[in-house]
Amino acid sequence: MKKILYLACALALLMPFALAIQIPSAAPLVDEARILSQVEKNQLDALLRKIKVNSGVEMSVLITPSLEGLAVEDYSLQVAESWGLGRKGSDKGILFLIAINDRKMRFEVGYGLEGDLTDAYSRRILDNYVRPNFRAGKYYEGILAGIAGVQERIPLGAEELNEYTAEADLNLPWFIRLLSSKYAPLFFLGLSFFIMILQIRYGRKIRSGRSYGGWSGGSSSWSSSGGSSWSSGGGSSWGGGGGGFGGGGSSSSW
Amino acid sequence: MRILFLALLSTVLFSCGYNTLQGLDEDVKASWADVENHYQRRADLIPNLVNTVKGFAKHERETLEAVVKARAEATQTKIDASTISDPKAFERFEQAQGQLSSALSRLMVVIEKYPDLKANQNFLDLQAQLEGTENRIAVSRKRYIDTVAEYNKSVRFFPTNLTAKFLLGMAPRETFKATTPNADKAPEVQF
Repeated sequence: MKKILYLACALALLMPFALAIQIPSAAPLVDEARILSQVEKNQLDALLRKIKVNSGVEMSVLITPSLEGLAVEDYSLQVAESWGLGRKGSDKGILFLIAINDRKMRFEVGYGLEGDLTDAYSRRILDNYVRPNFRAGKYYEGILAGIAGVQERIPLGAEELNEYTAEADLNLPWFIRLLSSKYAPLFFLGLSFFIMILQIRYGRKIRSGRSYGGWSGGSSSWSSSGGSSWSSGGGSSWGGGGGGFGGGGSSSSW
Repeated sequence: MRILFLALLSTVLFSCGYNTLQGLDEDVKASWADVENHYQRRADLIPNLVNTVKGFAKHERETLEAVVKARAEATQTKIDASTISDPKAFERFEQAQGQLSSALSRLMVVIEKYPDLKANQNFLDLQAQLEGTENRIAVSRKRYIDTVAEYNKSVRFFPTNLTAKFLLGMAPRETFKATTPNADKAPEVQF
């Protein structure tokens, strides 16, 4: 009886998550509505990856069958934030959301691109490039036209170029990355505390057995260079950079 | 022994939440600045919009004047980060911006009657900018609500409430209601 009660409680707690709209995992192209062929998908995927390497702009295309009653702005912001498109600080991420059954679409533009890809331009791209294609049922062509429109507006940034190409070399073991990250001082503080406690507890024993010099807890200072961030992604990963979005971009329909 | 004492002292200092409270206070101010920024941006867009619409829809003087008046009022009722804890000032701000919102939505309804205007690229750009700004306002308001909720929790919860009250003199902050007055009513459309 009690077990059933626990189960019911757990289910009740999980309910809100089950009811909320699912957010797929991050990728350059996510076609949940299955409107593209495999060849088209591969081509878009390659194109979006190329844009990321060449211009430092992390742009994703998400095709969803339905918004499930959500406003297109709400859903796209949720996805863009949870995917973390673009890098934290430079914030050059774009999400191109297409909701097939609602016939709605939106560019969600990261903070770092709001100046280049303004709301007005986003709208022009959607209305003038994408919409005619979508109305004719040509989704692939429409998406390509949309991406081309974005490419016209984004500058080639040398800084970001380094940001993403340098990432490929960063496939180091986790402890190396930890030691070169901003968490390194914390790690050493914890370590020295641990050693201190060991010393207090077993110190006498150790000393009586053999003379251990060296370790003086607490004073070890190991400061990292500060700039390097502890990124969990390898070279081919997508999203997770923590790019910021503030509702920039534009929505339209077809 | 001395190390133990230092450790104890730092624990006490951290658990009373002095730093956390200060940090949250700054967060609230920053997210308020964001909200205000976007409202300001909206106010800046309006003269341009009104001028564009005027060229096409001369007979809508009343609606246009209402927008101009509401804008003037909204730009006058400013509150900054230091006065956002004042509920009265906050309410005035909300009301002024709400009136501007409804004047604008009335204008947008009226515009539907003018196909020439709706085909004008300049107008379309302005409309996109205005919509974008409204969306940013919505996002920043939501973030402000979240930040204030976080702040208010710390100010009210034990033991950080003691630090907030006696050491820092912080009070719970006002925040936006989920919706503005009349937001649930769709603007009336007449043909």
